[in-house]
Amino acid sequence: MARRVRGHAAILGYVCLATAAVWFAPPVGWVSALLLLPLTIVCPGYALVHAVEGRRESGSDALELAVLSLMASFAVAALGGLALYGLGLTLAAKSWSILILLITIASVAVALYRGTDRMKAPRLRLPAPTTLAIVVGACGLLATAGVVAWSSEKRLRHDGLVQQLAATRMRPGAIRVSVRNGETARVARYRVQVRAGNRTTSFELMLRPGESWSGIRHLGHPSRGPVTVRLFPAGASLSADRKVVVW
Amino acid sequence: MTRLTTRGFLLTVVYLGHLMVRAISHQRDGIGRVGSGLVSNWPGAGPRDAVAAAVSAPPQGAPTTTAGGTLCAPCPITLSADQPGVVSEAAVSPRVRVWISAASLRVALLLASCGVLLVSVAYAAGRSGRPWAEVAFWCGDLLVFVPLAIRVLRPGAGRRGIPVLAQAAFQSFVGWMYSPVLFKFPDELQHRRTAEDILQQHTLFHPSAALPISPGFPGLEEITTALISVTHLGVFPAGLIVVGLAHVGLSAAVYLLVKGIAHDDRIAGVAALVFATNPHNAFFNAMFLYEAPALLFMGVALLMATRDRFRASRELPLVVLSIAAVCVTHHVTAAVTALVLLALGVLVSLQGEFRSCGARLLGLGALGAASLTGWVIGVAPMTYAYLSGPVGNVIAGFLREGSVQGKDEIGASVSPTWTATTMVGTGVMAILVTSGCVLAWRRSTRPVLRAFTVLGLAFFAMLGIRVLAANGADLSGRLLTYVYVFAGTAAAVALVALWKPGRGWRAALAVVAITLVFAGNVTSGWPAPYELVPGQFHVDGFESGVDPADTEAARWIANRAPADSTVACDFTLCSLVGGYGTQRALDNVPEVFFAGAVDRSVRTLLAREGIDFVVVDRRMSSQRPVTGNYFEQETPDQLRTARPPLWSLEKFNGLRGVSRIYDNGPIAIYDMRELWGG
Repeated sequence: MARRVRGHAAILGYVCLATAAVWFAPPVGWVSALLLLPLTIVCPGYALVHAVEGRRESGSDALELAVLSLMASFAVAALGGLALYGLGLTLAAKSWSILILLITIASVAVALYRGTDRMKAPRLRLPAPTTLAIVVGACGLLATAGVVAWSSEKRLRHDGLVQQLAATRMRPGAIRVSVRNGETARVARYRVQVRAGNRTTSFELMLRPGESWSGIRHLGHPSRGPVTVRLFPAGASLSADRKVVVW
Repeated sequence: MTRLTTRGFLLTVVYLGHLMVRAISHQRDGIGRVGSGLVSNWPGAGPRDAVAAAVSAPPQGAPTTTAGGTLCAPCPITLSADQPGVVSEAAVSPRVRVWISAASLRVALLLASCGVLLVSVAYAAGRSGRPWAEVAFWCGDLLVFVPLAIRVLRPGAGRRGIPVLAQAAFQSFVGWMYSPVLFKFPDELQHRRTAEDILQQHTLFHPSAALPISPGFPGLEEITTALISVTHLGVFPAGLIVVGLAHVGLSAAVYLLVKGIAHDDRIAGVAALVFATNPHNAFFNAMFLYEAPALLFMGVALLMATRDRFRASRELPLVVLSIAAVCVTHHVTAAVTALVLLALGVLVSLQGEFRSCGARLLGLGALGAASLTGWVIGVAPMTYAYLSGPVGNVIAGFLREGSVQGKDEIGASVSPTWTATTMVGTGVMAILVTSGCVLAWRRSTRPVLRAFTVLGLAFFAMLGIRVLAANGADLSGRLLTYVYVFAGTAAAVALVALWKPGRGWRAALAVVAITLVFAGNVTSGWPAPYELVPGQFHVDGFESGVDPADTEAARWIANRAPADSTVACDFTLCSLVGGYGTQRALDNVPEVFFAGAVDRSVRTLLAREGIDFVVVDRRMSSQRPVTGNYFEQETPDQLRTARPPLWSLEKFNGLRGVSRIYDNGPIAIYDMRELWGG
């Protein structure tokens, strides 16, 4: 019985800690994401499955338990969200964590009452060196594949990515101009030319890759005609790269 | 080049199959005549004692019993039930057999990992515009599948769950590598919008202009937003985690399901593998779509409902939970779940098993139907209108024997090699399904297994839909996902019977058959042939139509335009605008783009639809869309037009009252509000 209680206590303990972290601790990037991942996709389903297991001569094997736990965790989210909505609660981190905590507590209580044995964990042993080497090798190949795919996509998305120019009229006599540098890994100098009626002004910008600039340009006097804004690479010929016209 | 590619592909397949078969033959020779005197691994086909021993694979770690009654020590690896210890004394010891089984598993996993890397290289080559990208993709894709398939098919192999899971995991990984940075498929963007709405509004059922029915079935988005809320991940990584786990879980569920009804690990492994080859499984079912978790719910519901030892205290709550979850997640999957349970109940009852099994299945099917009906009536009444179109297409197609508009002609827009591969794969699958069904009825006494193989004959109905119905390719592809659970089981029965120990040529034939099915489903599935490898931009393609220019433009207008404004755009841009913003994206006003001048009809159209912004992709003037349409609906004249001329796309330039507020090179955005007084 002690072993059974220890197993369920471990699950409950993790869920309590994770809930507290969701409520009180600030997120720390990928670390907190990895640590909190089981809260949503493992724990509630795992506890639920053990609650319905009951006392039996042979428990689910590991694969079946994993599949059922995953399904039950997803079902808790899918149906629990409806419960939160029905109760008039917002679907936010705190309400989700409380929901998961309550379901886990209830499931553990039912499991203890029914006398469900803790699932016999697969015997952990060090794999043979050959197996270990092959597993490591396979993981390395997959990681390399992921890096190759990621970097080739990123390069595609940034290789020759266009510059953006946008303008909106703020009020008579003023427009907002926005420029974004989408060029590949180098700082780009641009010249922005603003023409309203007979008046033409220009200024230069230096933008890092991916950097955006936005500013208000006063036209001196309210312009009835269109205001034309052009974007050139600095030092280039008169042919404009980008052009917007605001009435 | 095409001929070379075809020859290279065929040679590669044959050579790989030859290598594998030789390797397996040498292994078998090394362990002696395992096949001699071996009872067929068919329940009910051999001596009763062997059959009794083969009823269930021993659980992992439990002692195994040979047919002679000798207890062997608990084995860390569970032996497959297809060799329940009835082996000749000349065979090698179980310890060595276990080692060989583990060794072949390691080799298969390593080769499959190499295949994943090769696919990754192929994708990188595609993005760099290399001509050999597609050939590399095929080599890699086959390398991912074939070694694992051989490992699962091979008699005497143990732990088939591992290669099944590995294959599903590799499939998900390849799907991620195709688009590793953001969601590109239009349907994914629609669900992204629903998830964003939940995150922003913190409530459900917020109307979505992108896909109005999506908020009515919020299961996927609830799971994803729960994960996002707790872990602070973004929508893209959280969505990937959810659908990736669902994808792998589904393969495991199918494996466990078939193992439970066939009591044969080998049939279960092969069935799960064949299921994984269905045309939409590799990409479509692994995308951020509401089918992904729904299929997992369906798999578990069937798994629990078809249990031999069904108890109200264990299996029933899990079935009810999964049925309830599938009803709130995806309409078609919920309907199929209910229908399948009912059909299984009928088929099992007809075999005289009403009391033991049939009544339960019928009851659960009725529960599923009632749950879905209640949900549709109470929460998602738009489901009827949404599904009536496709269902009507199917019915009309059959009633009119194919005399309908909008049919996808076979081979219309692909190469002859592509079509031939599809046809051969389909033909082989048809043979396997038919023969598997016959074998199951002749040799098996298990009513649920027989019912499964009968349901597998729905494969032929899917072929009918493909040929006869409007939009048949899309409809049949989506429905084949469900049919392949049963067709895969039937095919597995046939493949297992084909590859008996001691017959080398039959082993090769089985490997070739499953490889042809796999290849045929790749060519008939997703991605489409023109975007098999990512990289080349196609105007209004699906994933290939999404590039940095239109992503940036869509994000800009989604963030800057008023939330309730209306944006006119082409197919891809509207998908992006709908996915990133709350604006109403109209992709069915081609006149705005095709018209040569901003005349009265255009102004009337703009005012009638209340179009505030027009997003113009100037590349429409240089490329016809590979999908055939720039917009949702085009007139016959517009369809006949090669490409809209550039001057018609730029007709808004210089027009008084029309501001061109955004320019990123290919894409310009025009503010039309002053033109018609909006």
